Amino acid sequence: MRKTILLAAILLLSIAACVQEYDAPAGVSSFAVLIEEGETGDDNHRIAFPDEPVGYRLTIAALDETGDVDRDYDGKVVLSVEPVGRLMEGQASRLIIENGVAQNVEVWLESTHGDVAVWVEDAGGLDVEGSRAVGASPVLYFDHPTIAQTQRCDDFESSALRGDFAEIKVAERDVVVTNVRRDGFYCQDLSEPGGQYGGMYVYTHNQPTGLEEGMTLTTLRGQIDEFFGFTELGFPDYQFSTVKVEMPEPVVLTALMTANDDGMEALESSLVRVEDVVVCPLDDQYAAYDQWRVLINPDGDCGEPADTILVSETAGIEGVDPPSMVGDELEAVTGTLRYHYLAEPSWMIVPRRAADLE
Amino acid sequence: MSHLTVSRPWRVGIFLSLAILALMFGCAYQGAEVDLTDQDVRLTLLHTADIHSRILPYDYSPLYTERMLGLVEDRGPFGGLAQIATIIDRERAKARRSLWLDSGDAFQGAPIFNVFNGEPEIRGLSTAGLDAFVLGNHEFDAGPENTAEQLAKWAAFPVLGANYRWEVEKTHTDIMKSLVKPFIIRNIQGLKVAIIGMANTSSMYSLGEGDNSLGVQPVNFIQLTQELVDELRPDVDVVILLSHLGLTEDLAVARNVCGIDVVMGGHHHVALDPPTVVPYAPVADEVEDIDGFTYRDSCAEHKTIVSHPQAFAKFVGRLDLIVRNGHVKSHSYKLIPVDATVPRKAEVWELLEPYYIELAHTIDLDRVLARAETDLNRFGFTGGDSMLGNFVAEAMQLRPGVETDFCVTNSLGIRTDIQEGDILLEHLYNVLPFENTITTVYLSGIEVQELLDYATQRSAGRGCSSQIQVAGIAFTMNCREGEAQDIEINGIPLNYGSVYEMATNDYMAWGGSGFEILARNTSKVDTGISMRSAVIDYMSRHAQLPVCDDEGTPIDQCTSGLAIEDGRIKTVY
Repeated sequence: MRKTILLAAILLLSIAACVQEYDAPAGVSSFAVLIEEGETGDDNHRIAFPDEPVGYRLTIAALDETGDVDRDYDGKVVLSVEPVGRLMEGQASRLIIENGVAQNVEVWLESTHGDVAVWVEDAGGLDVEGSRAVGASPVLYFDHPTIAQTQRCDDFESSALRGDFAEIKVAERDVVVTNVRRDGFYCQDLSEPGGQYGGMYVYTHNQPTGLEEGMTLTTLRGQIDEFFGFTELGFPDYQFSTVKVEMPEPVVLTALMTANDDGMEALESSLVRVEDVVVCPLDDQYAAYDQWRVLINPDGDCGEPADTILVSETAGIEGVDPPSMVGDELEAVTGTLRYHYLAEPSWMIVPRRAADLE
Repeated sequence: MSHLTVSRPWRVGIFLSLAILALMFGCAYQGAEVDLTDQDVRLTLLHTADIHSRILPYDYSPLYTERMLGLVEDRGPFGGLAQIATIIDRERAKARRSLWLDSGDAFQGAPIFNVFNGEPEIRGLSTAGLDAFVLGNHEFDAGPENTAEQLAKWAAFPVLGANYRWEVEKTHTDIMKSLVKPFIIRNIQGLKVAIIGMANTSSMYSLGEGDNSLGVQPVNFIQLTQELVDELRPDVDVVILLSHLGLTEDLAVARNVCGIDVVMGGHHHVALDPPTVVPYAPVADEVEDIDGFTYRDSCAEHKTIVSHPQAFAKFVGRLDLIVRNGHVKSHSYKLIPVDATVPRKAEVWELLEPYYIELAHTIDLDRVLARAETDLNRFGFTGGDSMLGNFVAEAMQLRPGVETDFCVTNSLGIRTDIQEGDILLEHLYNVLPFENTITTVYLSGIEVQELLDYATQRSAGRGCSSQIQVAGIAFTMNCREGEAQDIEINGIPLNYGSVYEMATNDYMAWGGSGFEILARNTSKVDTGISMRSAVIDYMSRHAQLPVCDDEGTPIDQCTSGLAIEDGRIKTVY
């Protein structure tokens, strides 16, 4: 024990002996960003995920290296929301500060979630480069998004929170695993009213271990990416309950529905089904991408992609041999709905097993 | 993850000894006491990982995901250490407080390593001003003696690796003991930053299963990290874990260790943009081996930022932290592409240029071997065999002097795709950077079944993406059952009573990637024939690739030929 104390003392003395002189640079060093008005929430009482922009009134003060207000500071600052989040469209992201202080600065945020802060960064002046001095508001605790809040977007090839790292709200909701693949899994939020935008593909790269259809997720977070127009949650961190719940009923698709990309986007990654279809002749997409088409428009033609939908990833399913099925009438094809903007047609069904091809 | 544990007395002693050792090799603090109380202080962390010898710019067509990250197709060539140095200088000039940290695997992956064994990589990083480096698994590719020599001669930066206990006496042990530090502490204008290094264990076959040529005993990294954090945290504002453990392990550390602010990792060549934020939430399975593990209430709301900046010198990661009163209050992240728009830093280029010239005189890297009419992919669309895998395995099997019944080689030994266009010798060094040789081995039919079953089980855990590539043999990889089925060797069903001669590479032959069945086989013969040279010879005999046996069939519908994905490994999952 004495030896340990002695060693610790030597360590501390060694550290203390390393102090060197340092001259603090002049000028702005950081910013104090105070919230004068607006809700901040806390870890246990989060601000609801905003459907409408949320406003704040700030006071911003430039500080020097000693922490005092730098009254000589006249410059431009850039506002941003970090690490994820957005200033409202139309909200000015640049601001002039005179004599070191700006008061009553209105900032509006939208599509913001999780723990964020408003950053204020020195952008310099007309002839002066920004110093990168920065300050952040107190943390603003926004609620985590549901799958639907993540997915819902005007652009069917994108998503509301594209590019964000997000914790997805799954606790106290029934987010059920619907299809386990070799590089990820599909899940569906059964608590979503109407089931719209409730599906999500979680890309795990490797086959998920221990996860089975019907299990529910207890935590889910990851990076929201678009893979050729298909929303994925990448580099995920998730936990699940092994207690199984009832699977959702697949939504039956018609040719009319598949022609409407916006309507289909609301079903992306959800369980779907097409009925009374015919297996079309295989084309290049089968050999190259393991994708083959079925005719869903009874009055249509396999030569017209819009009359068909793709069936994908069947090479790994035992007992499914597409070349021998060409021309067959299938009562139904069930699976999760996927999208790829280079595929023709772009929407495709990913069956789980041979029984999904009835 | 290592499951080795460390006894408490040993831990305390080794920690303090290592700490003092670290201090003896340089003043841990640089800077002075500055009162930053109640101030938002910005710390800019610049991050590279898995440079893999791409210290000279190289031609490359970015993948879709890389384009999404900001790599622009027509802005090549990409990479280059002189270009990275320019980005580092530019960012440092703007940042009042910054550090440049590298997460290891600077070695292996371009011909310059094969010729100079890592010297220009280490010299270049030193000249460019790297602040700290953690050991990756590929640092040992030319042998641990080479690692020790290159680092001792040329590293002007601290080399970290707290989880390596250099226990077995080897020729390099003393050098590595003195060179490799568990952590450093930097005082950056009043902001005190601890950087703990965790070297790779998951891909260090030689540590656990081989002959332990490194002489290293790895320790449980979660336990050790927690102990180091506990010792360092009271004296610093920020704790960073610089890691080459891999993403899975980095996330495990973040979940289970209380008090780390940032994990800056590498090894898996992925980009986390934006970084992952992991709450402290210990998982029973991951801490079960740790003596006296207890949940820390003080960390109930603590979150750790985990960042990875991709690989091959394509990006520099910039993580900006706002630190206030010893607490990371907020963060922001940006990946900066390393492309032709970035000028090279003269000082670094002057260092690298003689190596570049000598390399050009040593190997004719611009020699055209063949032409790829389409991309030759190393992974198949269905997870089974692949165009490039089939070609490489055939080249090994059919090489004069080898000529075995079949060939099995590991998929990850093939490191990159070949892109459409002329195939240069340089590309082959990128595809097959390792200096592996072809080894032949005799196996009974039962052993062939066992070998392929193991490969299937290993692949099942990796998305049923085949971990082997083959020639002369076909089978169904049933990942659901964990079993290889319908095995045929040269079109004839496998006979358990027969004996077959197989070609493989020396890495697998000696048990690499867990192929124990080969490690214990006594019939191995190392032909001494380089795997890369076999592929170069085979490729040189074909002006164009791929080739379909039926000339009239389009390549994407072709089912047999050369460099064709022909279904010799069918996957069921």
